[in-house]
Amino acid sequence: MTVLRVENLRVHYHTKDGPVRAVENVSFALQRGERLGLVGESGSGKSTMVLSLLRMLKPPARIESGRVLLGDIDLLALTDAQMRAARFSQIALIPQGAMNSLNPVMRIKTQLMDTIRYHNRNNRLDQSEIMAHIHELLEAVGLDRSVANMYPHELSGGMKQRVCIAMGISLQPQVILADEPTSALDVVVQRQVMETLGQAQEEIGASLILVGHDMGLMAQFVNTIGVMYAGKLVEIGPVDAIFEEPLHPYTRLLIASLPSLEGKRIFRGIPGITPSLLTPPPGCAFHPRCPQVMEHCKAEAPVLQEVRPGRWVSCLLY
Amino acid sequence: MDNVLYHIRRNGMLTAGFVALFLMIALWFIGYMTVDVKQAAPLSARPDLPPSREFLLGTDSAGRNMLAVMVIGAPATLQIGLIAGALGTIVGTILGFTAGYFGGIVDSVIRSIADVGLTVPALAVLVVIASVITTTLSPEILALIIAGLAWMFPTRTIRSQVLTMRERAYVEVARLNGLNNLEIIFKELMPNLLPYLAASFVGAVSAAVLAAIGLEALGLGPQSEPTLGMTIYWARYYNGLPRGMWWWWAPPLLIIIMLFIALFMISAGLDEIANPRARRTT
Amino acid sequence: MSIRYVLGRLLFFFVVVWAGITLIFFLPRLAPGRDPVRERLGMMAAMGGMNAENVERLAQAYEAKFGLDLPLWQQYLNYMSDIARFNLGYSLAKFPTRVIDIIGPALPWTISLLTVATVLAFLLGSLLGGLIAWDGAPPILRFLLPPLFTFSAIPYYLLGLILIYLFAFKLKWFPLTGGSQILTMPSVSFSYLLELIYHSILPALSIVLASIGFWALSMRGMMITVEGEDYVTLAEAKGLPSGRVFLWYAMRNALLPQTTALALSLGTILSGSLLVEIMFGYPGIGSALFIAITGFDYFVIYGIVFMIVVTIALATLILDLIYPLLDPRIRYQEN
Ligand SMILES: Nc1ncnc2c1ncn2[C@@H]1O[C@H](COP(=O)(O)OP(=O)(O)OP(=O)(O)O)[C@@H](O)[C@H]1O
Ligand code: SF4
Ligand SMILES: [Mg+2]
Repeated sequence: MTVLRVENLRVHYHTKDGPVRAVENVSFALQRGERLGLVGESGSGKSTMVLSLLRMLKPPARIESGRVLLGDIDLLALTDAQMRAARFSQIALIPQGAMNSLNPVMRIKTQLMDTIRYHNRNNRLDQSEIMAHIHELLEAVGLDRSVANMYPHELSGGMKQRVCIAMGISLQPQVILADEPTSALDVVVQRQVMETLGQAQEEIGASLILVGHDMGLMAQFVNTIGVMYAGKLVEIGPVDAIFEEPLHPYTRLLIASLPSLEGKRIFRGIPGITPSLLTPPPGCAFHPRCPQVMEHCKAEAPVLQEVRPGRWVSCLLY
Repeated sequence: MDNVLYHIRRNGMLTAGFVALFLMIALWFIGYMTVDVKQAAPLSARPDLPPSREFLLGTDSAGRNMLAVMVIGAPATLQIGLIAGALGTIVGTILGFTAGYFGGIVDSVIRSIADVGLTVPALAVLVVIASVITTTLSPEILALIIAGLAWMFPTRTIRSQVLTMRERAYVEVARLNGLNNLEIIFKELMPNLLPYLAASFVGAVSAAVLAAIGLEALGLGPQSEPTLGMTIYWARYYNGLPRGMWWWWAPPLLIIIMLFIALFMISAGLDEIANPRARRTT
Repeated sequence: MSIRYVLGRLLFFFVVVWAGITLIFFLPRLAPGRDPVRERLGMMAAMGGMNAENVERLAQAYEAKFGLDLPLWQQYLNYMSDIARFNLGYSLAKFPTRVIDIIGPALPWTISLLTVATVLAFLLGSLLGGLIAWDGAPPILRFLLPPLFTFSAIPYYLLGLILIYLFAFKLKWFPLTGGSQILTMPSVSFSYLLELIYHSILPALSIVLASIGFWALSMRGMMITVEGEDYVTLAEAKGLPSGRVFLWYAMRNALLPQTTALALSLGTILSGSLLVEIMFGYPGIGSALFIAITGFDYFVIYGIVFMIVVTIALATLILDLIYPLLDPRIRYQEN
């Protein structure tokens, strides 16, 4: 069952020098319970995409066109008030900078309570029920309930990120967006926090979009991988199939550049310079770096197509 | 130099500040060329005259030509600010660098003295000094006295800047390359701190002018020279306000206000350069 | 709050007061070969008059404590022990009035004007600056920035002078001078209170107008920083109403550096408002200081300077003790 369907999403940053095309015609669908991993080099538009799903972008960013269908509601068509109500109750965010994502002057319980209380229409829950729910949530993410009374500076980075996970699942959303949720943590803690995130997501039956750089972590954790390049989704498909036989030349380089199967597979970068999103190369944006570039790649822009069952690629080779 | 021009072009605040300052200097110069500055002395003209063709800004109760008074007084006031501001910034820079770069005991001592000194209101200290030597006070001496208090704020801000810069990689690299402390300070830290130093200096100048005119409002300024603050003081002393002689107190007041606004804009503009985080302002 | 923190702030309070006293004692004695107090006493004795005998007594008492035959450290200790007992001496101009009896009645005027005006300016300015920086606020507010900017560059008392000219001299809406009508006897009545308020509106307005812009500008700077923080983004992502995000996530945090700035500006604010008092003939410490300076009344000058230092040190101490209540990171330090 499709939970989230993104169609032809385009997001531009309107700068003095012209529009920066951070997200260009991105389309994909997310099934119930599915985990989608989004990868791509820095500046390829992953965070912009994620924030636009929540309609959290501020000027100069603007969503130019497209649809974000949650069930059959287009989030982009909602009023501000409706969108506010949908946030976290339908579609939640686990932020990137865990170190600084919690309000330093507020107790953990107040920050969790805020999330619940302002979505608690008609006061279905009273104070003590909310408190009980908060304790449940904290225990669900492997924290002691005494954490509720603490301030963020009393917690370690991993604990803070667990609090953020608790916050993300507190309203049982259908979709959870996690933008590099563990990039600020050390390796051991990373794994533990990811496990917690996975369990929590499965428990409430939500779908997950995970943005990250660590391909090793992705390989173990997600079902589907989406590869972004210069604001476009260039390949999307099942994780095993993509690791076995990457189809897009960029994905191939990405996977080939991984050190080993066992080691920590962090994407190191590939030769050539990242394209400017202000003036992207004509035709296929990847052509200046592509080892398999053909003459017409420089003029004709490929579109995302299903080249094999379940395998979508945007490349003129196919 | 190109860099400076670039910032002036991109930075509205800085430009506006410099333009205002330049306009004031130009006005002053015109006044200086056209007015007989000897008329700034008492008994140069008939007293209490409102502005007229002959005396553009009128005369005060002692028979001074107010335009001549402004031509003499404005630079005298600015001079106090510049001397005190420059001395304060130089001393503050030396102490701030010493404290921030070397740390330890030196840092604790300098920081504590500056913190205590910043808490004791400058005006209170100035009153004690000036009330003793009031009859012999000249603008230059006043500037020196104010300079004695003007180093603390620059010390504090520069110290904290040096502290953050000291940790940056390029200082470490310089040290590994065998540069000694002085070389690091002058070759690596100074250039990066220039915008801060400039902002500190401008801030210190306006603080010094503020302190000077504050003292003058109390009647503790130089008695012999018609600085802007003393002019306002005399205007009040001889009831210029209830007597409706606005031309006595309004011109010095406007000059002071324009000066403060110009300095304020320059320091805000410099802040923007020094502190790119504040740049997202429109 | 940790004991260490409190002790540290208390120590700072005493060091500041001590530094103030020391400056008051030594600075006048730095002037080579001159003791202005002795000169003044000599002059008064030479003039004779009704108080000749009293002046004689005063001079003898002064010689006993601060005579040239005493070593400097002895004089210093005498001075410290006097001040510690709030024995600030006698007014030279209005002998036998004690200095404390000049300061005492003036102090409430100053403190009430100062606290009301400063608290008002701080709160209004911070709120305004916060709103100007906030995306969700009405854009009209942005037009307030240039005038606020201008006002904040004007020294309080010069703004006061302009206000007097416009509203007291030209429009005659407010009295030109004073803290109350000269003929009114102080009383605990509603009409007397109204009169006090009526007389303090212009002085308070000059302080508020001149400092509101300062707080607005600095708050705007803090808010621009805080708005970019992840916790504000997350609060918005949580779907909280924007009022809640503004007040409890953004403003609440931006208020911390703003409070530090307040503590650092106390001296400037007090100095500025003393000068405002003089402009308005408002019967507080500032006017008392002005009268003392014009009359070369050194004991009163030193007494008032001492009170100023104590007031600032005390206000700083209070803010230092409030700050941890605002910031849990300090409250729980070393606990
Ligand atoms: N405020 C802005 N103004 C102009 N351009 C911006 C702005 N924010 C982001 N961009 C541009 O949008 C593009 C996408 O940025 P985004 O943060 O979404 O990338 P990302 O894939 O999340 O990168 P990372 O892996 O580093 O997090 C980048 O090229 C960036 O330069
Ligand atoms: S379209 Fe051409 S240039 Fe682009 S990835 Fe495919 S082969 Fe390479
Ligand atoms: Mg990102």
